[in-house]
Amino acid sequence: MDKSLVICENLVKIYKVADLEVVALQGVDLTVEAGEMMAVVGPSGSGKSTLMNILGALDTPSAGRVHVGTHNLLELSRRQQVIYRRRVVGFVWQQTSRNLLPYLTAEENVELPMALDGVAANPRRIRARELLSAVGLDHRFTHKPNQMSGGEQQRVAIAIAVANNPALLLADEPTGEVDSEASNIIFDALRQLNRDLGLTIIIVTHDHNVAGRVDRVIGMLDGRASTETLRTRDVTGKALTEDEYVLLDRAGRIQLPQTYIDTLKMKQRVRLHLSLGHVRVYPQKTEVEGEVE
Amino acid sequence: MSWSFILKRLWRGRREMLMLLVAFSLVTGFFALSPLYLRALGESALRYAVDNAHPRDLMLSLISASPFDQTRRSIIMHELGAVAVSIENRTRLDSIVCNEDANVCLGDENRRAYVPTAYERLTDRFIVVEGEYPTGDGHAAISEDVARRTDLKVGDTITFYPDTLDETSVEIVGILAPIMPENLFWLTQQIILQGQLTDVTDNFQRFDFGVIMSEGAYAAQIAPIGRVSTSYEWYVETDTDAFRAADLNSLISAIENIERMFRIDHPDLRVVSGITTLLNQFQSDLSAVEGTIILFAGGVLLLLFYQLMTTTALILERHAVEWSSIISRGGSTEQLGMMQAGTMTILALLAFVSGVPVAVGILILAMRFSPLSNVLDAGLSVTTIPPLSFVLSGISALAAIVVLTIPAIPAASASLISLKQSVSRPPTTPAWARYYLDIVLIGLSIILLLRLYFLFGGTSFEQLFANPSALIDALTTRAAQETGLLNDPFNLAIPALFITGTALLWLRLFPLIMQGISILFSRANGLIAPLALWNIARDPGHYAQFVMIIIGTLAIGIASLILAATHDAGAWKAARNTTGADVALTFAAGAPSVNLLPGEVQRLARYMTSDPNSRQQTMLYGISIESFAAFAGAMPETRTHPGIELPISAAEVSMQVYAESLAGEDIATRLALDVVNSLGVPRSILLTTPDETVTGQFVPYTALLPDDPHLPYTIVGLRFLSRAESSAFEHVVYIDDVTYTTTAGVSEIIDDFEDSPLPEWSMQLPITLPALLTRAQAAGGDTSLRIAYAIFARGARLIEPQLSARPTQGEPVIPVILSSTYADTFGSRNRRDAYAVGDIGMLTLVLPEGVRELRFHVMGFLPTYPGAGDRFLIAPADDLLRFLNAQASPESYYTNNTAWLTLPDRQMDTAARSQIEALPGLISINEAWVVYNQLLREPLPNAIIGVLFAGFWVSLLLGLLDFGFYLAMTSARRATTFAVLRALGLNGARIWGLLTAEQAALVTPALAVGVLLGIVLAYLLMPFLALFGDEALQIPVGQIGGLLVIIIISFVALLTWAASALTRSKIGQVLRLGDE
Repeated sequence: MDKSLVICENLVKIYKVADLEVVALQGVDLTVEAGEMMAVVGPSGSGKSTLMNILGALDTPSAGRVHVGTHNLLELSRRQQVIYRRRVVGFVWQQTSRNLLPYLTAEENVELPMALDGVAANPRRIRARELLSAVGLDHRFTHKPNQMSGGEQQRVAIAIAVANNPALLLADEPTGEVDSEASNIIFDALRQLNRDLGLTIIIVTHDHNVAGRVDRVIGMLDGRASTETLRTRDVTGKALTEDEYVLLDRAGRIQLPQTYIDTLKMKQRVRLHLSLGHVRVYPQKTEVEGEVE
Repeated sequence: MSWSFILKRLWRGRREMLMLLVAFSLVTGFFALSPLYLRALGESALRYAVDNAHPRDLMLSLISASPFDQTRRSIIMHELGAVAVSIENRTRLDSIVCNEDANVCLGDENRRAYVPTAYERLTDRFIVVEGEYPTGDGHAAISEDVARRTDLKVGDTITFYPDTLDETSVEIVGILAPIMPENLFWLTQQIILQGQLTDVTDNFQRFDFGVIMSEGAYAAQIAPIGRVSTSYEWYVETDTDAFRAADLNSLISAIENIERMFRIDHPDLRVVSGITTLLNQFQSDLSAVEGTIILFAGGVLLLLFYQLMTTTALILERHAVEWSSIISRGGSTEQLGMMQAGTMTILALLAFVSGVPVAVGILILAMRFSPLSNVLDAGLSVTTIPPLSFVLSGISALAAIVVLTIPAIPAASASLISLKQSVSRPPTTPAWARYYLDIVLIGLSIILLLRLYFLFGGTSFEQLFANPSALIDALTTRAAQETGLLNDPFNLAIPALFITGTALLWLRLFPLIMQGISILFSRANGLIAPLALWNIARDPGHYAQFVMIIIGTLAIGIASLILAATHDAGAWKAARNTTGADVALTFAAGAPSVNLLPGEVQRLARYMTSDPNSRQQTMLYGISIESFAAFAGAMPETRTHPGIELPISAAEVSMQVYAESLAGEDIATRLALDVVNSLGVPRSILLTTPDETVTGQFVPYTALLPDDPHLPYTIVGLRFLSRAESSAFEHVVYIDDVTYTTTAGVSEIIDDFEDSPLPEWSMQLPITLPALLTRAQAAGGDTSLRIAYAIFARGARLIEPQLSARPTQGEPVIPVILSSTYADTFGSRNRRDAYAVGDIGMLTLVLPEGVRELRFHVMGFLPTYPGAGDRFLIAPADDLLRFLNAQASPESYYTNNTAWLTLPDRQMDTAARSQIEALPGLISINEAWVVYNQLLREPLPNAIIGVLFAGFWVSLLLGLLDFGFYLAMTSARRATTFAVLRALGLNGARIWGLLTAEQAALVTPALAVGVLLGIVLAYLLMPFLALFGDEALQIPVGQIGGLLVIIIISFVALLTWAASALTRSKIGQVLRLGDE
C-alpha cells in the first residue's frame, strides 16, 4: 500500500518576469510519506519556496504531476483550492505578520481557520484552547501577538496551521526570526505534533540546527532536488547514521556536486563505467589511477 | 466572518477607517445635497417672486351670490394657519345702477352711475369726515374723493334703478375716509374710494362710484330687488413671510380644502387666488427639475465613487499581508468580499446618518461662497430638510457599499499573488484596456451627440464641420424654447460617456506620456528630474489615477464657474432683451413728451396688436430713422409726407375764397382745414368767415390752429361742408393766397397759385368723380385754384367731399424690418415662400379705432429685438406713428411711448427711481434688474451649477485625502529610498526639489488638461441647461485662476508634509528597519 502523502513527478514551474522566462522548477521528483517530518534546504533561488507554494495550492505548476493525498493539485478548481488550503494543508510562515492577525488574541487567531470553515463558535473555541495548550501556550489565550515573544508567536502560528486538522503542514523558515532557544521550542512543538497527530511536516529552512534534527533533508539546487540526507536515530533520538545521497530522478539523472565537477574539471560530457556494485563517472579525458584511456 | 471579527478589524485600522468615513460622509452628503439645494433655491425664488408680486396676486378671494356664514371664518384660519392674517368681507351689487334704463346706463344727468356696497363693521374701516356712519335703512355714505368729484354732500339723495322697474333712493348721511387706505383690502375697490371714469362712447364718459351702506341697509333695501345679483365677498389677506417653499404642497392643499368645504354651501363659489397660481407654478418648476438634478448629481457622484474606490484600494493594499494570511488559512475571495462588505456596511450606516448634516454644512458654505450665492438669499431652515435628502443619503451609502466592496476582488487576488513571494508578476493589461473601452465610450458619446445634432435641425456633416458652433446654437435655441434637454437619458449620457471614456484614455496615455518625458530627461546631467520621473514611472497606475482625479475635480469646478458666469451674463442679457434696456419706461399714449432722461438710449413707439384671424400678437416698433437704417443696412427711401408743412410758430391759416353762386338758391360756403400734427394726428379745423353766404367775390376764411404738443402742423386737405337749400348740389369755389400767420403776427403766403404747379391733391369720395382741380381766374381776381365739388346725399347721409393730399387708394407702404419668425410664418402662409427683402406685404392690425391694414415693404430681418417676442415689425417711428394716427384723435393718439435707459449699475438707485416715478404720464417702469433676478433664480441652471461646485470641493477633499493617504502609505518605501539617497549625499533641499519635480510632472499637465476639460464640459452642458439663448461662454479668468491656486496650494501642503517627514527621518534608523 502506497503510504505516500505527497507525490511530485517531474514538476516544472516557469515564471515570466518582464520578457524573461525563469524556470523555477526544472522537473522535481519528490515523494513524502504520510507522517514524515522532513526539511527542504537550498540556496536562494533554488526553488524551494516555489515548491512550497505549489504544495500549498498557492501556485500551479507549469508541467508535471503533483498529488497530495487524493488531491491532484493540477486539476483543482479555484473553489477546490480554497477548500484544500482550508482543510488539507497548513502554513507556518517565517514572518509573524503573515501568521497572526495583530488585532486578534491568540485564541481568536487559532479560531480563524475554523471560522473560515464554518465551524460553530463553541467547538472552535474548545479546539483552539486545546491546540494552544498542546503547544504550551495555555497561559496566552487572551493575549495579542504584541504581548508575546517571537517564539510564542510562532507556536501560535503552528496552532493556527493545524486548527482544521490538515494532513500536511508546510513551514517556511519557521525559526528564521527567532533565537536558538525559541528555535528549539518551535521545533519541539512541530516534532510533538508530528508524533502525536501523525502530521506530515515539510520544513523549508536555512537553519542547520533544524535541518539536522529531521531524519530526511532534501537539498534543492537550480530548481531540482539534488541531494537527500537520511538519518537514523536511536531511541533517545541521537543520530546514529547520516547518509547523504545524490538523488536519482525517474529519468536516471543525477546532479553531481559542484565541488566534484570543479575538482575533476568536468565539462559537457562524462564517461560512465559500470563496475561491480557501482558506477564510475569520469571526465571526458581523465587518467584513471594507473590507467591511461 | 463574524461581525465581532469585522468590528475588531475596524477598530484596529480606526485611523484609516476614520479617514474613509470622512470621505464616505462627504459623498453621502454630496448626494443628499440636491433636494436641499433645490429647496433653498425654491425658497429664494419664491421669496423674490412674492416680494415682487402685485399685492392683488397675494390675496385669496371667495365670492358667492349667497351670504357666507360668519362662523366659517375659523375654517379658513385653521386651514391656512400662520399664512392667513385677516378676513375682510363686503357685499356689493354685481353691476352698476343708474337712473335710467339699466341696460344702457348712460348715467344720470350728471353722468354718474353707482355701485351700492355694504361692509360689516363700518367703524373699523372708515372714519367720518362729515356727517355720520350710514347705519340705518335708506342711509348711505360716500368717500371724501367721490364727494369732491361729484359735489355731492350730506343730505343729498341719490335715486337709482337697480332694476328697470324698481327705483330706490338713499340719503347721503355721511362722508367717510378709509382708516387704512393702503390696506390690500382696498386694492380692488378703488371705485369706492375714488370712483372711476368709464368711457361709454367716444364722446361720453361716465363717473362710477361706490355708495357705502351698512349690511343691514343693503340687505333690506337692495338685495330684495328682483333681477339684481349681489356678490358676497371674503378677502383673505395673507402673510407672505409665512410662505415657505417646503410648505407649498400643504398650502395648496389648504386652499383646495377651503374651496371644497365652502362649495358645499355655495355651489356658485368663485375662488380668486393669485397665490394658488404662484404656488402651483413654483411647485411645478421645482418638481420638473428635481429628477434632473438628482440624475445629474448622480453623474458627478460617479467621479466621487471612483475616488472612494481608489482610496479603498489603497487601504486594501495596506492590508495585503493580512489578507494573504487569511487566504493562506483557507479564506476564499467571497469571504474576503463579505468581510469588506461588512466593514463598508458599518461605515455606510455612519455615513448615512452623517450625510444630511454634511449636506447642510455644504449648503451653508454654498450660501456664502458658491458662484451664485447671491441667489441663495432666503436663508436655510433646518426644520424643512426634505425627506428626499435622507433617501438619497441612504441610496448613496448603499451604492457605496457595492462600489467599495468591488476593490476587494482584485485585492484578494493580489494578496494571493503576494503569497508566492515572487517578483515574477506577469504584466497584466486591465480588461478595459484590452477591449478598448475608452475608445468605445468616446465613440458612443460622439454618436449620441450627432444624434442630438440631427434631431435638432442639423442637416449635414458639412454644416457641422463648417460651423461647429451651429450645433450649440441650435441646441441652445431649442433648449430655450423647451424646458431643457436633460429629460432625454440619451442626452444625459453624452457627457457621462465622454468623460468616462476620456478618463480611461488618459489612464492609457499617462504611462506613455511619462515615458516620453523620461526620455527627454534621460540624458540630463542632474539627478532630480530623472529620479522624480522614475518614481512616477514605477507606479504609473496610481499616479495616473491621481492625475485623472485632479483633472476631473478641476473640470467640474471650472465648469461650474463658467456656467455661473454665463448664466449670470445670459440672465442679464435675457432680462434686457425682455425689457429692452436696463430700464424701460412706458408712458400713456398722448402723455406729454418728457425731455431726454439720464441714461436714455432710445425713445421709441411700442405697441402690441393682434391678428384678427389667428389672434397671433405682433409687436410694432417705431424707432429712429438712424437706428432703422443701421438694422436694414440701408436708409429707406425718403418719403415726403403729403401736404403743406407749416412752421411751428404758425397760429392761423387763412385763404381767400371766392364762392360762385348757386342757381336759384342761397349757399353757405363752409370749409374746414384738414391738418395733421407731427405725429400724423388729424384735425379738422373750421375755416370761418364773417358771412358764409357771400358769393361772387373773394372773402377771407380763417382757421385758428389749436395748441398741440406735437407741432408743426401739416395741411393735408380741405373739407367742404357747404349747405344750400337743396340737399345735393354742385358748387365751385376759387381758393387763393393760402397764408399762415405766426404767433408773432407775421404772415406768409404759402401758395398763391400763380406759378406753382397744381397741388397733387385728390377728392376723397366714396364714388369716383372726374378731376375737379384746375387753375383759373375768378372774376376780377388773380389766378387761383378752382375747385368744383358736389355735395350729395347717399341714403340718409350727406357726402361732404374732402380734398386730400393723401393718396386715395390704399395706405402708404412703410419700410419695415421683420422678425425672422414673422417672415417665415406669415410669408409661408400667405405666399409660397417666406418674405424676402424687397417684398411687399400687408399686416392687418386690430386697433381700438378699428381694423387697419398696414402695407409694408421688407427691408430686412432680425432674429430678435429687445423687449419683443418672436413676432415683431420695426419701422421708422415717423412712418409708423403717422400710419397709426391716421384715424386717431387729438384726445387719443399714438406716440413714442417707451424710453429705454441704461444705468451705470444694473440696479436703479433711490434717487433715480424717485425722479422717474415723478414723470408725467408714466404707466410702468420695467427694470431688467427685476427680471434678471427672477431669471437668475430659475432652479435648473442654479442647481446644476451648485451641484458642480459642491462636487468640485467634495472631489478636491477626497482627492487630497486619497493622495495624502497614498503618500503616507508609501512613506515607508520612500523613506528607505530617500534614506539611501541621503546616505549618498543628497541634501534636504534637493529632496524638496525632487518632490517638487514629481508633483510638477503630475500637477502641471493635470491643471492644463483640467482647465481645457472644464471649458469643454461647460460647453457641452450649456445647451442642456436652457441657459439663455445666444450668450457665449463667459470664462471668468480670475475665478478660474483662484481655483487653480487652491489646487496648487492644497497639493503643495501635502508635498510640504511629505518632504518634511522625509527630511526629518533618521537615516540610520530607516536603513536598519527597512520597509518596516
